[in-house]
Amino acid sequence: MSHMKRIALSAIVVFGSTFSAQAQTGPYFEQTYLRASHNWAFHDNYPEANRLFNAFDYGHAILYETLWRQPTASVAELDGKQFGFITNQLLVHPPGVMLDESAIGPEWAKLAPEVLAMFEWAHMLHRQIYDVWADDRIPATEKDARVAEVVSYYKSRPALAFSSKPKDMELMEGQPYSLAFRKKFPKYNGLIWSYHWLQMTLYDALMAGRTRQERQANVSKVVGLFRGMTRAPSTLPAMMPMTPAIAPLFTDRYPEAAIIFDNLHSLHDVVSDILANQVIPRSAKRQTILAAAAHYRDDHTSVTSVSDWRDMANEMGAEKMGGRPSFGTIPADPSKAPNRRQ
Amino acid sequence: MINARSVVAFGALVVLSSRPATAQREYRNLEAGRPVRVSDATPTERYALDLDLSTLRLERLSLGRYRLQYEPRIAYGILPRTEVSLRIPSFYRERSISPRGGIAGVGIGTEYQLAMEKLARPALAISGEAFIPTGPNALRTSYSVKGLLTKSFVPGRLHLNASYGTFAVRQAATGVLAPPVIDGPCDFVVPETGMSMKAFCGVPNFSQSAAAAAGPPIVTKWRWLAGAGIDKSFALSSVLIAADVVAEKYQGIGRPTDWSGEAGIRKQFTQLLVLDLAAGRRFTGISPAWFATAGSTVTLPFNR
Repeated sequence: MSHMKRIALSAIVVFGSTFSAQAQTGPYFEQTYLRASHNWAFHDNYPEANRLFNAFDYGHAILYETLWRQPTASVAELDGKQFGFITNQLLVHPPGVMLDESAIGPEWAKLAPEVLAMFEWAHMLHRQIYDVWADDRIPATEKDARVAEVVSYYKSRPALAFSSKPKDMELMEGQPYSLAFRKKFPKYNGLIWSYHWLQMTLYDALMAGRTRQERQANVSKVVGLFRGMTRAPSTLPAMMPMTPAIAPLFTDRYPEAAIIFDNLHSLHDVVSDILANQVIPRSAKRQTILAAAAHYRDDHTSVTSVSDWRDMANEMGAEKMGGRPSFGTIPADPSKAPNRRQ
Repeated sequence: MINARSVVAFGALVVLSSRPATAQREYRNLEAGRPVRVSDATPTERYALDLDLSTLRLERLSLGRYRLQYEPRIAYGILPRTEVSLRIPSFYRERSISPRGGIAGVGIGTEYQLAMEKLARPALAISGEAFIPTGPNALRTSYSVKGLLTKSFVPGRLHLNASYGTFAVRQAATGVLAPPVIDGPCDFVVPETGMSMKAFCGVPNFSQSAAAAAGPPIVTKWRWLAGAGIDKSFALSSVLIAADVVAEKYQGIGRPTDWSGEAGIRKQFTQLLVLDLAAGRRFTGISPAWFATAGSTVTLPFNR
């Protein structure tokens, strides 16, 4: 057998042997967003808020990368160095384009690519719903149909889609690893919760506005409130923001999407806890993360009723979650528009 | 034959008229020649249409000759982890060559990701292409299959590519075969024999002449390519730098192995656009040369 033929045969064997492994990772592949006329409307019409979301990608990725690569990371590393960089530099001058999380956290991306894919797929849904509400060409009467369309597209990939059944708190806070992250890194945890607060209150900001001017003012208001939180860490959310409490308009109109996003944000916290908690051995972290992710995808584990989910959120209180912004109609005189820093 | 200028103009028109859309994380998705020849083991994402319509390559050959190559390429994520692609390389060469410019052929390819990357396993993909030559000097269709591997490390990524395939050549009367590559020199000396000869770009138009039927026979030979590349991403600025070394051998024609090295940069300029630049040197082989490439990628969702 010639040298080249031996090389070719070896290559076939190597590549062929990966097919069995592929059976387990088959559903996890990259897929683009739904093509629609509203694509990038939020990017075009609300650039400041959009750029903040680009920065959020860094915050999540560097958190997981740090916790995975430095199991004994000090408080100074995350609550000091990274928190300072993010709040003083990155959020002040956020990137103009979406970031690649696997470039920020390459080891995290290899640890649980399935879960990273779930996060990215849900973040895509976030952006597409913003687009629907940011696109002034879509009449209010058509918004719901467009949102239903992007939610349907999101749910077309069950291997990635979060459940649209609300989960009880036991799943997030009653596990052996629970609460480890927030106890050790309270400032960074508050920062992550402030991200989730902005992501959800932005929906109400868009939906409360009857005109483009009102929507712009509302978005500016929540962005201003968010920036205020990051400048004064003591005002960061002390509890995980839950959509029914902080974004009631969105919850009432799109309860399914609101539940999906609450489940997304819960899993973000759960992954942080698993990585931060030394009770979970390093060799078991991947499987523990995958198991938790599966529970947030299925429709039967720790499911609670929609009314209980709403009640729980409201009983916990919006004030501790960053607050529920109020949106009024703006006056004709722009100088009397709501104070951005309120 | 289509004029190279009209191909460039068409490409520019398509780029400028494309509806703006995202190129999400596209700057990290390396394709052969974008910016360097070694690519990563990640096909175009499902339902995404990658338009690489302005890829230019300028080569400075011996004796002050220059050559321009334009290679528009379209790739579509047709299935999970699977892309199909179409590329149409065209060329514009030194004045003494006839035809001086035109479309070299059409390449139809596919790439499939066998495994995504995990902690202990690199990403693996396999690709293949059929290249159908066009024009008066067209020979047989050539085929190739390529394996791709990508392994990520904290400082950057390592990519390994290896391909094996065919190429067609005409058997010259002297027994020496002309090289088939469109970026090869038209006039060269065969190292083993010292014999001066012309490649296919200068030979008579066999397909259109009466001599075609009785012309030198076409034979199929084998070729291989092996390349290793590294890249480093600067995540917050969405910039990637890459470098590679590639060895390429056309067997059975008395041609030595070509060794080349490149370095390039790729940047996500907007959500809509990725631009890349590269420069390199073919150190050995029949025609050492400097070259530079430039290109852009626009990515559109195409799922309904």
